[in-house]
Amino acid sequence: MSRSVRPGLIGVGLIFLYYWSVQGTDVSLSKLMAGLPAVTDLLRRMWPPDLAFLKRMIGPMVETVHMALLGTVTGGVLAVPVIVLAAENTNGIRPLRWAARAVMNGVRTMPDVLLAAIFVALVGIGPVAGVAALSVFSFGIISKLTFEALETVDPRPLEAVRAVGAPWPAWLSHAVVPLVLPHFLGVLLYMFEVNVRVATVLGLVGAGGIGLWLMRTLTFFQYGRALAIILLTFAVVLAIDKMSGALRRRLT
Amino acid sequence: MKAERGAIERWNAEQESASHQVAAASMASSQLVAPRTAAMRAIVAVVLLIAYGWALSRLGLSSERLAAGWDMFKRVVTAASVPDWAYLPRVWEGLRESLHIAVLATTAAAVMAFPFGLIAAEHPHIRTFLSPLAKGGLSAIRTFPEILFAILFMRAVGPGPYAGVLALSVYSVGFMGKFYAQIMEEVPAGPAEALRAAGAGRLAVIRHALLPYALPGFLSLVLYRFEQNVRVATVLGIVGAGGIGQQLMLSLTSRSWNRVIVIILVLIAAISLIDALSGWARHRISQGLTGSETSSSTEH
Repeated sequence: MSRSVRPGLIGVGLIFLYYWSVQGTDVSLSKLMAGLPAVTDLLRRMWPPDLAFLKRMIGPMVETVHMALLGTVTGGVLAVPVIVLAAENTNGIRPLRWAARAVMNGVRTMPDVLLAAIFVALVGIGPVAGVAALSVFSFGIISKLTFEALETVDPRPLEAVRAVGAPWPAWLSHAVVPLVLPHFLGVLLYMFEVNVRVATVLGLVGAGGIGLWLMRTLTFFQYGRALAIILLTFAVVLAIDKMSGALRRRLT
Repeated sequence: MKAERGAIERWNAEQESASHQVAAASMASSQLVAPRTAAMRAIVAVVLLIAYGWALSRLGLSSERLAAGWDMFKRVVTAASVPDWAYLPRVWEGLRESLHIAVLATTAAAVMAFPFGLIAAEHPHIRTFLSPLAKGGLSAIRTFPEILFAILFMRAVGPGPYAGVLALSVYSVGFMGKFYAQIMEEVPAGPAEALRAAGAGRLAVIRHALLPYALPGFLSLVLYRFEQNVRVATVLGIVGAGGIGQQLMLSLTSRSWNRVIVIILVLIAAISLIDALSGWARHRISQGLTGSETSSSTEH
């Protein structure tokens, strides 16, 4: 196939895909135009934010951060055995390696909110469902990022410790862990940042945190309060990002 | 050409492993840890531990609650072990709607984000006083989760896939605008300078010295965003904004675990497949960056 034909084919394919999607969702420009005033109206009704309401939101916000923290650490602990099983330099048995990677890849296909909805159905409405969902979600990402880093560490210390005849547990704790721990901590911090963002919306499906209040204010048409919550969330997410980012740089 | 690959890697890294570069540095330094860094790590570990304990104590977990949860878990596993495959046609319907939402939102945002990216790019030959402003705005959009946009748009256009398309589009404009700008910033300034020196206007510089170099990066970015949008489009239905999330929510609220398991299995398969295809295409694009250099210069 010549180079000039291929882009044409891709273009035709894209147009077909687009047409198929427009048919399937009955999206139209006129509908968008008709909907636009409703959006601006909504934004107008949100202003001004009800900042006095924020006093009552400190508790839910703290709960949100707690959820993120618990989910991150639990996910990190769950990830450790899978990381060791998945990396080529810590596990020489190929089928086991594949199994471990299949588990982490499968878990990573599940979106955060979907996990939360499932756990709400399992353990009921509340932050416990959120923590469970965040733990599973974090497990997938932490294990992938850490095992990839583990595979790229300098092999020499690993060989050296093995060469002096250290048993497997000692080799793990004295050679592998020191090499990969700084990275692991960095990944945990990054995961915590992500989880704070995610935890703020999990309440929308009933999994605890400030999202629960956002949903409540929206259903009662208290748009000023909703905007206040959104602004608070924005500020907290930014602050935690900055703090965690600074900490991450200090770690190395 | 190396610059573009740098950009792709950077946004890849920001999304998938923000700590990757940090990690690479730490890997190099981990053999020779300064005492201060070691102390810092110990402090971080201790603080994390204390905070974890505190948060756990506030969660209100009790042994009865854990036991009840375990019972529930066993019941769910038994129910889910006999998947209701007759539900598959409905699952496919929902999945198709999710894909529609992702396709529309990604393509619409890919176009709409371009002017924003262009304004935000702080490339020496196209930057204006608006660039930092546009950049800040695009970053601000990205701090709000997609699902929040979905809820807001549902208030405006009613529940259904349309609200989902709007929500994903807005979020994706924030995402792609920012990374479009970043990709353009990494285009080498040489060709632009040459055109400028020959008396070309700003539009000509963009058209001939910027876009040809940035295009592969753009394509790769759009594909990556599509993968993410597919994921989000599967959960939009949980709040009522169309897609397979609706079927999931129905099955969950009616405790039809044998249907929930069908949805989950289909989602794992579908998302894995899309990731693999898109990942392959992205790989091809990034390879083409170095491979097509000579042939493309003879074409024009």
